Amino acid sequence: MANSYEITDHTYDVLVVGAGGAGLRATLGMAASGLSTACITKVFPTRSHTVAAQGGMSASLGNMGDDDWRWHMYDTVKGSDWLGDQDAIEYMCREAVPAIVELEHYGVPFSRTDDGKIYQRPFGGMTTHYGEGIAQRTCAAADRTGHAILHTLYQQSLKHNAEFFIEYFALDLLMAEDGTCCGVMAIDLATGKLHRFRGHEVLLATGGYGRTYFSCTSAHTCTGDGNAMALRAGLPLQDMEFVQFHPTGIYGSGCLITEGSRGEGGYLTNANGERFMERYAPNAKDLASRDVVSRSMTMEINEGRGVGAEGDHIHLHLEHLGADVIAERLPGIAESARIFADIDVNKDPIPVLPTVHYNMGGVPTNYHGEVVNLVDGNPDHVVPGLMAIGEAACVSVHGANRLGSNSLLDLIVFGRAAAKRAAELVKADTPHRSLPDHVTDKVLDRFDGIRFAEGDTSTAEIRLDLQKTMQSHAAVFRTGESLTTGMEKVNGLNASFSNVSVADKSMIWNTDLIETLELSNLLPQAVATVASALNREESRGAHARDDFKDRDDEKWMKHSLANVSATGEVRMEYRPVHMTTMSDEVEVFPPKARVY
Amino acid sequence: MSIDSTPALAKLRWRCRRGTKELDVLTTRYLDSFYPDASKVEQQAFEHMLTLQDPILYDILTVYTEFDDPVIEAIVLKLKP
Repeated sequence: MANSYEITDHTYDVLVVGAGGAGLRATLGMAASGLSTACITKVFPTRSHTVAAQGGMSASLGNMGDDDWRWHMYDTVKGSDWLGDQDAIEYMCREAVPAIVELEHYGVPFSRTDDGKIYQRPFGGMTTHYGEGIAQRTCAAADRTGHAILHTLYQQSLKHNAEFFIEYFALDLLMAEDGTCCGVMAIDLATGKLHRFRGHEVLLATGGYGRTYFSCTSAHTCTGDGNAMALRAGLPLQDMEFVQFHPTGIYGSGCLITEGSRGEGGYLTNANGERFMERYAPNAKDLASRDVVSRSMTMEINEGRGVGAEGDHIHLHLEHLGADVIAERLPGIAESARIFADIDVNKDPIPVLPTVHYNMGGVPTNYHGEVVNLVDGNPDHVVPGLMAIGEAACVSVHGANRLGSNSLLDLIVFGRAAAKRAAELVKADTPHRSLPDHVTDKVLDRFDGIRFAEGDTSTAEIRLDLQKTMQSHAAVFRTGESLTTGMEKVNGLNASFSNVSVADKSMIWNTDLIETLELSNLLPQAVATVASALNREESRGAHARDDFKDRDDEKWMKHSLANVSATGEVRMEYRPVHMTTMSDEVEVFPPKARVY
Repeated sequence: MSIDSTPALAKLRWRCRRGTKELDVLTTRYLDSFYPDASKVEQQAFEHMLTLQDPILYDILTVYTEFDDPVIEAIVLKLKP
């Protein structure tokens, strides 16, 4: 069957998969350096999930008071709970300043101070003088920072003649026998035609994999396709156990209810109508930190005190505040509850549950964006021809937990770094090596296996089971027992994919097929996440084990590498955390308790 | 997930993939619940809305209370009665 496809060939110096903030920044940089650059994206660039990033982008410009990249570095190391690589964090925090000035020159309309400088706002975890003061470090373009960045970078990329293949779904990497990445296969959704792209560097900027969970704030498109392609290429994913949750996503949709709701007096109850946070956090109660509230909610649900027909969520009450207070202080929340939960917050509680917000784990890279792997004892072996950046990557600058406004920064700094590295590594117009047919055939065999699947379980059924299993067993409350059960279930679901049914066999705009391909990407990432969480017997950052409550630096200050075979077997390995800096302008920050 | 009866409908479903979860939910809700039985004029208005930038579309669907175009207003009212 594989040979029956007509394949269109393309050759470029470099390829970028994904057109969010990271992919577009890299595309721009590569094209501007004179490399022929193709960007392949399954959705229109300005509709990538970066558009949801409203808060802003951190950089120690010091426009609103004293600031220093070393303070930003300290905050990021501490936020990472000492799992972040300190050389990469130093690089990110130093380069934040020129990276944001460049963005301004490209045309991003940052909000301004009265004297014309870029306005900067405070953000959680961002401090001055190594935790002593509150930093105003986050630059924003009103509440549309992500969109403004996408729009500007897309226009600039076009100006530099980057070529975009929009609504093309990447199927798999083309890996030569010596382990070099030589390109990527993709399907054009509009025509159903297959395309073989060759590039001397292939950069994955495919975002996170929030949709492995039942409740996630990420858009439907966030299925971590690049992560899964890396796994299928025989490469590991790093630190997949670290998943950031927000406590109050609306049940069913995942749309966020901001913490401001509890700040104004909102409170949570279980099925008995009990304000359970009083038991878990007697002082802070409903205003405890995100992770404490999320864990408490999950424990209530797991112990049978969740609300709803399936007892799988919690109630958030605002009705006691009164209509005037709600209308004055929480109008957006009232509107969100009405639209996304069909709830009048003046009369009824909002159904909520802890909701996946960000994936710290991903494809391991160095600070140039080159993918690295543990090979023959070398933990920093570079995989030739393959790069990764953004939420798809694990540089690792966020370590065990990401600070707000460091994600847009990560996209821009490492998109820029990857472009610079590609310009060093690739000489324009270098001919491509020949690639044996079996490399393409392997990709097409897998594609056909899914396209012609004749099982008896729908994609939607397996996906929902997966999402509910991940939500129940690999969310914020984790024990060896819950994770072991979760591992068994996820392994079973992964195996059940062999029984999936794809009813639509056509090729043009076959969303049934594409969603099944996406499910095939979600499953191994779920396996890697649960296996890594079960393996890490400590609590650090976003990974909280109830049976190992403390951070254990002696045993676990190291990155997890999860290798997942085609049949779902997991092999765990480790890479050391980089406790070195790039310059003598800053010392390594030694580990200490992460207390705020 | 529903299997769309025509490629044109499947294409619209893909274009309901937006940058934010909120817009995913709203546009897909309209496509599944209202689009099939909507008038041709309203269907075309929805198709046009899907070409808008996400922040503009979000404002139309959740923030705006007054509309110049009665067809768009009809779509919005269906999504937030």
